[in-house]
Amino acid sequence: MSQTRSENTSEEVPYIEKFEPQAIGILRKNAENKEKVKELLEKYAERYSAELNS
Amino acid sequence: MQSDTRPSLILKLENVGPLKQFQIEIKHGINIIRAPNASGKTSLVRGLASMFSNQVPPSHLLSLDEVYGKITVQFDEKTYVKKLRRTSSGSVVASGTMLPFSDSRAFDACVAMAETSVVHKIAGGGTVFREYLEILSYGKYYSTIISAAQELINDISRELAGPSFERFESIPLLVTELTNLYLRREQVETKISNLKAGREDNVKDAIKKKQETEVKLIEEENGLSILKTELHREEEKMKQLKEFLELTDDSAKVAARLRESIASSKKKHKELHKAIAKKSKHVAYLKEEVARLEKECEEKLSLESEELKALEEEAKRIDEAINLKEEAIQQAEKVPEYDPKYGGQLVVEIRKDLANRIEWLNKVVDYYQDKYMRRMASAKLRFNRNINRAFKELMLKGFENIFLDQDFRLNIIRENGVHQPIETLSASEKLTVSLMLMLAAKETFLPDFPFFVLDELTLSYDAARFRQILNYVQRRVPYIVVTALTSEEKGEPTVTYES
Repeated sequence: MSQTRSENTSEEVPYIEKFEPQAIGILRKNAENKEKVKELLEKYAERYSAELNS
Repeated sequence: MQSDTRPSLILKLENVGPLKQFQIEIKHGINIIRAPNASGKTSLVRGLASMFSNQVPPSHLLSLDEVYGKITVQFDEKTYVKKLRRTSSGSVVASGTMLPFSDSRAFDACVAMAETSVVHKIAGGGTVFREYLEILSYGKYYSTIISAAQELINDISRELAGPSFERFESIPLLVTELTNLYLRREQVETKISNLKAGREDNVKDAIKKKQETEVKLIEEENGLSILKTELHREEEKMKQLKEFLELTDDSAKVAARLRESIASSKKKHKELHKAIAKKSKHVAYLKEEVARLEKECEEKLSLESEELKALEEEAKRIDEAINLKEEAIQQAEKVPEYDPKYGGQLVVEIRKDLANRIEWLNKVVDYYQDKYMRRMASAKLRFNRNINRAFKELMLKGFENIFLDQDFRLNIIRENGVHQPIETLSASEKLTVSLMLMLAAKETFLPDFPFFVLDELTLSYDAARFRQILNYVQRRVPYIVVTALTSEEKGEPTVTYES
């Protein structure tokens, strides 16, 4: 791990605890299903932005 | 070792490779399946592996001349079925249930055959095993999430630089142009205002001068008129004197007096003519002056009104340009209506939203990069430890150490301390190294997985070495499937058991 890069803990990344089991679940079914993971990432990124703007 | 109470597994294959209808019982312990070449040993292994790992492509299972096939497993009083079907396009699809302990990684760690990734890689001289460990340690999941997040960040960044937001970039220039237009309009308005004020002063002066000259002209014309009246009276007077002179006969005195009066009148008459001529000349001059002043006044007014008109037209043009610029800024602030995703929305709001999304995605990338690095470092450490254990237990001659270095490159050190490149190993040494890596992978990442398959490895080893390997595996795995070649020319696979 780089010494200069800031490390994000799960507390510092909103929704990561909800996101991770879903993403791993998708990849366990099909390790190549990156598109589905992207859809999931988009969903949480959208939620994060909406919360910041509210 | 576990007790013998572990259940058997019944494997039924229909139209799998050359096996049209085949059934085999796999028992706890070592199952040695013997058959001649091209009789379906590898198909049997693939069929079994496909029930616990999705890494076996369905097209590698179904007989080439068949449309349907089936694999059935009975295990621990339950039945698991996989159906195979060739589609109209020629591809093969599979559907059904997998064994309860199925794990996609098991094909890479527990099935030693020519097409398994490690065997294939080492046979081809491959040396870097990062991806192998990524898959086995689930680090691959993290790297896939990182890659997906980075792709999304790139997509959003490209979107922000794309045509939907291009016009927004022109706003600073448009604002500068608009400011310049406002300044120019202010200048023109000041000029118009000054011109209007100056025009009134100039016209006032010109009219005053003209009026004064006209007054002078009237006075002079009156003076001329008086002189002319006086002349007329003198002419009348002289006429009467001349008549009196004709009527006077001999009165020399009277005549002399009359002649004297006539001469005096003539003199005055002459003087009046002279004065009238002079006055007439001055009147003519004043008339000319009045006409000139009038013309000058008109010209001045005309010149000033042209300048004023030009300025007023410029002000109008500037107002139109200001309207256009303001409209352009309003348009640039919004994404064009034709954009299917953001049409009509305010660019500043979309940019803020996209920046927030990138912020979250960057947090995700940082989080999983950290997690990936830690996971991979730990996986490599445990993997190397297990390679070392297998290596020592199998007592491989001629080798000092086998390990993955910091770049996940496989290092093979000979007894004399010399590093040996993989491509220079013999075929059986390559197979041995592959086996050690797979056994280490199983112990590290799939310690409880109950199967280990060795497909046609007997040819590469002498009986003692092969037995040593089998014993090593048997101490760790409940079910071992070994395929071996027989000398018969024909026949289906047969199985013998060793508990």
